[in-house]
Amino acid sequence: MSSFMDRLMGRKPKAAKSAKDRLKVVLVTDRAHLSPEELRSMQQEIVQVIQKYCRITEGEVDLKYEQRDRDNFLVADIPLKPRSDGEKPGMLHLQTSLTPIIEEDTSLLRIEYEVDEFATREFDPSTIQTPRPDESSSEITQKREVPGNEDTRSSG
Amino acid sequence: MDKSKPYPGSPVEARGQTATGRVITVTSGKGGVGKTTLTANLGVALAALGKKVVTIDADIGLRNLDIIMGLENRIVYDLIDVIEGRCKLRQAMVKHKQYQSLYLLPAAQTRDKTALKPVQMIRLAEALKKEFDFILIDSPAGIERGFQNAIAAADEVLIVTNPEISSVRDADRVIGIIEAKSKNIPAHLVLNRIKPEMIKRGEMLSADDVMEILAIKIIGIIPEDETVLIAGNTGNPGTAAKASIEFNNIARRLNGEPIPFPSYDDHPGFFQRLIRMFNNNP
Ligand SMILES: Nc1ncnc2c1ncn2[C@@H]1O[C@H](COP(=O)(O)OP(=O)(O)OP(=O)(O)O)[C@@H](O)[C@H]1O
Ligand SMILES: [Mg+2]
Repeated sequence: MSSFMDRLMGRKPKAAKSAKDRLKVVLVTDRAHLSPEELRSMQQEIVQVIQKYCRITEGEVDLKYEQRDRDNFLVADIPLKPRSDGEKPGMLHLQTSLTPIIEEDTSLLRIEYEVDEFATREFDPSTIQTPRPDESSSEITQKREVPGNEDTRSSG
Repeated sequence: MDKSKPYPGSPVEARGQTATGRVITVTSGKGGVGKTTLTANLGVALAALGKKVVTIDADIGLRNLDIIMGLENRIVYDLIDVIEGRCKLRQAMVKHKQYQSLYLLPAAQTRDKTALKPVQMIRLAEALKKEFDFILIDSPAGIERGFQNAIAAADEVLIVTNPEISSVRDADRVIGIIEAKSKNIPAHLVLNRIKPEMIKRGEMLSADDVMEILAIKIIGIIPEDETVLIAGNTGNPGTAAKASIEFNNIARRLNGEPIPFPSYDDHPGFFQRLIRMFNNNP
C-alpha cells in the first residue's frame, strides 16, 4: 500500500498534497479575477507575442506560477535561439503580475521582461506594442538589464 | 459621524475621551467554520485576563452568539433597538453570568441585515472603544451586506478557516476583499478543527500548508474537540477540554504575549517557523 511506503519514505501522500496543489491553482484565477479559460488564453497570447518578436526556441516557453506573499506571478525563463556567430544565446526573463491593479478589473496587468546582455542585438523591446488584443487597456513596462553594454557586433 | 458623542448610558465606567479599545472582527467567508465559537471563547478568555470585553453579534436575523454564551434568556433589547433609538446602549448590553467585565450586544432576531448600515457599526464601535479594551464582532458568513457591516469598524480581523479546501479558498477571498479595502487592517488566521492524526497521515492540510497558501500571519491553531459542542450546548464557553487551552492562547497572543504554538504535525522546523512568522511581524 502506497501510504505505508509514503510514510516510510517521509513523502506526503495524496489528500493533503492534492488539496494544496488544487488550492494553489484555483487561487491563481480567484485572485486574478480571471476565469481559467481567460487565463489560458492570456498565457497563449503572451507566448505568441514573445514568439513573434523574440527569436526564441520553439516549444520552450515554459510558463510557471509563482506566489510571492499573496501575489501570483506568471514567470518564464525562455532561451533565445542559438546565434549564428556561435556566441552563447541570451535568455528572456518574463514576469507578469497576475494581481489586478484595480480590484475586480483585470484590464491592467503588468508585464515585465528583461533580456540578458547577449540578446540585445537580436531583440528590440520597443517593438512590442501590446501583449493582449485589447490594446487600449494593456500596460507594458520594460526593464532592460544591459548596463554599459557596448555590444558592437554586427548582425547578419 | 459624530465621534465626540458616545452612546448614552454605557455600562462600564467611561475612561475619558480617548478611544483605546480594539475592534476585532471575526469572519471567514464560508459558514460553519467556528466564528461564533471563537468569538464566545475569546470573550471569556479575555475577560478572564481582566479585560473589559463586549462581544457583538452582527449576524442580524440569525442570532446565535447569545445562546453559545448562555445568555439567551437575559436579552431584552438588541443591536437594532440601539441603532434605531428604542433603548440606550446600556439597556441592550447583557452582562455575562460569571465574568463581570464581559458583555454581549445581541443581534436582532426578527430583522434582516439591511436594518444595519456600515456607518452605524462604525459609530457604535467608536462609542464602545472608549469603555472597553476589546470589541469582538461576530460576522455572519458570506461577503455580502452582513459581512460588510461586520468589518466596517474593524481595527483588526481574525479569519477563521478549517483545514479543508473550500473554507481555505473562501478565506482567501475574504482576505483579498479586506486587503483591497485597506492594507492597514491587520488580518490574522485562526485555523480551527485540525486533526493531528489526519495531518500526520497526509490526509489533512497542515497549518504550514494553509499558511503557505494564504500567506498571512497565524494567531491560533485549534484542535478538533467534541467538548466544544458540549460547551455550546450548555452555554458555557471556555469549558472545552483541549480547545479552550488554545482559545486562551489566542487571547494572550492578542495581548502581545509571545505564546508558542503547539506542534501538531511531525514536520521538522514547523514550530520554529510559526514562531518566527508570528514574531517577525508587528
Ligand atoms: N474546534 C472545534 N471542535 C469541534 N467542533 C467545533 C470546533 N469549532 C466549532 N465547532 C462546531 O462547529 C459548529 C459551527 O460552529 P460555529 O457556529 O461557531 O460556526 P460559525 O462560523 O459561527 O457558523 P455560521 O457561519 O453559521 O455563523 C458548531 O456546532 C461548533 O460546536
Ligand atoms: Mg456564527
